[in-house]
Amino acid sequence: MTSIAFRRKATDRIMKALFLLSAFLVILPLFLIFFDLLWKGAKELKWSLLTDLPRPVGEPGGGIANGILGTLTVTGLAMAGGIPLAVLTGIYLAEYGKGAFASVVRFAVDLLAGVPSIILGIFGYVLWVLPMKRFSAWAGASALAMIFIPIVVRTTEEMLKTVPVSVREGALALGIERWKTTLFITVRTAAAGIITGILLAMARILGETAPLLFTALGNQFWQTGLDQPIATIPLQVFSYAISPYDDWHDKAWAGAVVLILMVLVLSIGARLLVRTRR
Amino acid sequence: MENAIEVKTLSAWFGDHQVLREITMGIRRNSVTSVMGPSGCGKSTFIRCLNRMHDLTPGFRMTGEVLFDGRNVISEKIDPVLRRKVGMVFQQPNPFPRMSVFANVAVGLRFNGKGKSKSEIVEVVERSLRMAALWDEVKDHLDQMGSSLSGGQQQRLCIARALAVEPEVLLMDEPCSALDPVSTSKIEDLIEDLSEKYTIVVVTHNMQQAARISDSVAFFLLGELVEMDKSAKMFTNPSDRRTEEYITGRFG
Repeated sequence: MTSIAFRRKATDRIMKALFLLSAFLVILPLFLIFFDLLWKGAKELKWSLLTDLPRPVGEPGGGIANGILGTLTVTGLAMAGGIPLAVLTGIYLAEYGKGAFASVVRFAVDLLAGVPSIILGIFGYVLWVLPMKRFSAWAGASALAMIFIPIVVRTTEEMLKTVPVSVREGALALGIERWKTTLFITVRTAAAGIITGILLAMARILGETAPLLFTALGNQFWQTGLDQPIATIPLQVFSYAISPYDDWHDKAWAGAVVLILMVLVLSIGARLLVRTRR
Repeated sequence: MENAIEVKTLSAWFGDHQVLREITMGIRRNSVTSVMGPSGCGKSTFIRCLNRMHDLTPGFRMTGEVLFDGRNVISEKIDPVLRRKVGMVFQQPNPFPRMSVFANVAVGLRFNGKGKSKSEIVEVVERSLRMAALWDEVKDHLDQMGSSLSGGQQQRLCIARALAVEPEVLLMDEPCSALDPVSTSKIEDLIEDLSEKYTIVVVTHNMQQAARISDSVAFFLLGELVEMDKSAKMFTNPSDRRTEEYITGRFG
């Protein structure tokens, strides 16, 4: 073998090793986080964590049941408002958005996606908490919706753009009106991708803490109404983690495990959905 | 014989670029009319004018008249209704992804709001698949995805889908160019059968195909209609020198 050929092959191997190493380094933190959480959260990972209310300092036991329910409530509210708005906006951008207004919308949505989440929390505070004079689930949900919406708008748009023009033409050629073609043919064709985007955005807002600090606030008890302060898992993890008590630290770890498991289930669900529908 | 469509001085532009120049021709009812010519001569643009498929193309405009059912298609605003009567089959088979064979054929009925009952839809689907000569191959698995069929079957599925909404005219834009010879001959036989009940316009750049399937042939060149005649006359004794040069293979 000539030396040039040898050098080329060697370079090739080194580069391949470099790519592989980078990929390994990228996934390493995920596994470190996961196993560290399981390790440290194990002590408090028991059934009562999921079923009981938090207890006062010094009293053993207790759980984050109100936080689980609160997280589901606030996330659910954010999605109930966010999904229709975001999906319809995504449809507008993909199917009708050719003009200057669409470019403005697209740019604004990207900007919104880049706004630090603490600022969205302050915005929710000004929008809801100040006029209502109390922290509430509504305020938390609207802050989360502002994180949720831009993600879903852009994934919806991207997914619709993967639907070939021939599909739209096929439907139009049958005399199906354009709005029906869009909703029942094009969106349907891209449905798995759009739902995946929704699930991933949901996973994202499940774990948000900063936007809820000034809006949902947190609550030691069961929620009493959507216009009242409400507990969520991330808020509980936060307050437990900054406390000076060891058993609260353990609970923070356990809460984090619950949270990451919820996110994991959603992400796996999203993947399965795409696979089975393909 | 009576004309199903009457085209008068039809011109069309994409932006500043004129692609059709004052086309005037009649398309006879219940016959096969082929539109042939070299790539870029405007033949696809032409048939897509007949069912206004260009509506969504930015910068497209057309002038002249396309008379169908006594109305000028070009000035009419209600396009969906028109397209129910003027069906279209495309170059690439385009069954709807993630829809079964049955749903693909039924889709026009479902969304055109004719309010057909379930059993009526089943009936129309079977009739359409039979007319498209696909029934025997798919009758036992109507639930399978349309996109899982072979290319030739997909194209016949698209034909069945177009027939299900009971059009009067069927426009076919190079329906065989993506298919193998066996599938091509099936589609050609089908075109012949369908011409008893439907007015068919086929775009093709394949002269042999035009000769095999059509009653009349229109020859397009650079956006102009060079000539149109019975296919027997066209291929043996064309009146325009450019047609003769094209069919003898001197260009195109």
